[in-house]
Amino acid sequence: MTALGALLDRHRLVVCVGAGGVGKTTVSAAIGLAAARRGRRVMVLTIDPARALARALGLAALAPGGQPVPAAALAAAGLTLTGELHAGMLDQKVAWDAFVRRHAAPDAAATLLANPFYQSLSTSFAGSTEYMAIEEMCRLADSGRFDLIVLDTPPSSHALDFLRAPARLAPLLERGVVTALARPAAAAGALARFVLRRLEGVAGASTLRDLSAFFVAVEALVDVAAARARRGHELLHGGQAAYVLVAGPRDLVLAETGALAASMAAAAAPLAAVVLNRVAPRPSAPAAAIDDALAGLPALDVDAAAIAWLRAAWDDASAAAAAEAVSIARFAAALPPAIAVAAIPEGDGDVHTLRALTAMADRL
Amino acid sequence: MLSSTRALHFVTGKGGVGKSTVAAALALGLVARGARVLAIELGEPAGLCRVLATTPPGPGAIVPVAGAPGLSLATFDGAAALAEYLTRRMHLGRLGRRVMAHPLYRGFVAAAPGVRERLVVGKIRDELVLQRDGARPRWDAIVVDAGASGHALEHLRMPAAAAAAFATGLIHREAEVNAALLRDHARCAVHVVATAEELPLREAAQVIAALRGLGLAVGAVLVNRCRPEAPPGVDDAIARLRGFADGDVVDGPARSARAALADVGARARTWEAIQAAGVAALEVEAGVRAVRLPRLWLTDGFAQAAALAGAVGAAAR
Repeated sequence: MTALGALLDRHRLVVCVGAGGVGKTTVSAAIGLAAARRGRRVMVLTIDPARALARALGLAALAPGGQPVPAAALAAAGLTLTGELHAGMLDQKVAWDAFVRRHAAPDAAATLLANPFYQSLSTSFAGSTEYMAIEEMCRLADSGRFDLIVLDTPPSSHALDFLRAPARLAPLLERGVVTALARPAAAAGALARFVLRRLEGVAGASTLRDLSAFFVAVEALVDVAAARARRGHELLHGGQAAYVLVAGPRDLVLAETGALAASMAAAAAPLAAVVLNRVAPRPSAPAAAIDDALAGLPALDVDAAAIAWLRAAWDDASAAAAAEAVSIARFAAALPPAIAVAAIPEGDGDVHTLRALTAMADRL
Repeated sequence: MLSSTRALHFVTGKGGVGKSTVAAALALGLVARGARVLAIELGEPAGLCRVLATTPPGPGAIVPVAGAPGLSLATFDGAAALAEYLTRRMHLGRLGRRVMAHPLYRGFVAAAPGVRERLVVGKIRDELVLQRDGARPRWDAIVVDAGASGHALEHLRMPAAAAAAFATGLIHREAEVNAALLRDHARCAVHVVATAEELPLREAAQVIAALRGLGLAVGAVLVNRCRPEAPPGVDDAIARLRGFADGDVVDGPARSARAALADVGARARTWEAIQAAGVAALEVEAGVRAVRLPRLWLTDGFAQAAALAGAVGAAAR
């Protein structure tokens, strides 16, 4: 633990961003474990952990709001923490429903929960997972129970999607918009009537009635949502958050890291560290010695097919390391200074024990 | 020319499995058979544009792909498609800008479920059906890099969902037409890409089930970056290499080479076993035959796609 250590001690929030499929959730868990070993009380909020990882973290039976990783699991992995490690999993539908029940009057909540537009908002709406992740992050950060929140973010095609996504929801919770759609008939002015007529023509009158009912129910939440958005913004952009980019060693995003770091700085989300996950270990032995080793195998009754397979495995491992070295060198050249880089070697199989997670934490 | 009439190909899978490379490979494979192909990236320029172009095409632009005669590239973005559509269909004319800034309009656009996604499918259909090159259609095939599974399903689910959510009106009628195209198994298929690991395979199984639930054709199931299947004697050979290395009296290059080879072999064997079990489980669970694509280590994305074009083109017809 060298590259990320100081960063974990200083911040209240670590936000792991990156494209889908790079092991962001696993890296988030490893970061949380590393910080807990450094004495911090940590909550790792994950989005969609692999089952085996969830089991390793004691998340098989999940309580809302997270729970401590069981002491027995820690002991079995030979881990003693000076801090605390908690883990939670975000279920966006559950989180949205809880949000509505917390903040709306009971009858308004019931109306909203049954509205078809709300149902699409809480399950499949672009940006709604991100919005709830930020809401949960605020609750956890302000509970006073944790020194550090490690936030795993939803898979995205672009590293900055997490920060941009909640903006897609903004019009839904904007006072002027909500008022206009809650009572469209009262909308004043020729332009408003024109827009309404045309929307009716495109969408159908019954859809607009449902939509209007949705906005009536949402009205009660507008002020709450605005306050939460401000708090989220404070936490994410107020200097207490460290942004960690998780990437694969030949991730196409690596080629654009310099530009990415610049755009993150512009978005007040400065990149603090990069974790290169699953870097292929470089096999080291002279080609001639490997040829000799393979040539000695027939005398040991190893058949030709097995020898050919071993040869192919060696060539593959060499080619992987060589190709990744090219990508990583390209990446390092584009990286602004003062950004910590940790490389985690690819293990044998998926990371699904606390022990494997500990080995990963050691490399951060 | 293509022997098949299947003209609309969607490619999806979990993030990081090489979807864009496979989509590009499919487009190159179809072009190699003489087809005129449009490759479309949904949303902002990302993987497919990086593989096929040095600079991504601007919004709405269709540009030829260098080094692949017959192949063109475009990005279709939901917000842009929506603005274009509403301007046209709502007959906004000069009022366009003021209407789009109006709270009623913004609220509708933000809340209406999947309007953007449905319009993108509509735009793809327009490109396929309406664009002509003289007497014949402009494109023989369209390949869509539909993004990660969840995102892709939002697009594919939308025509049916929109027909339900919008009981009347223009959107309802157009949704039905788009849904019919997506459900036409002779013309449209969704290819699913994975790698041979837990999460990508699980996601592939979920996507296949979801596609079937929507009545869409599941095309090829492609497992990317597969290792060659291990022959029976490999474990034994690794054990012998280790024993041999352990038995060496003196340290030297021969001993360390044997140990290194045993280590590399053992790691490869572990991943190969995960691959064999995982892919077999997917085939049983989903009732499919998976096509295994090889591991390639070319640092140039286009070259990588070109190397896979034959295999993907044959699998995904």
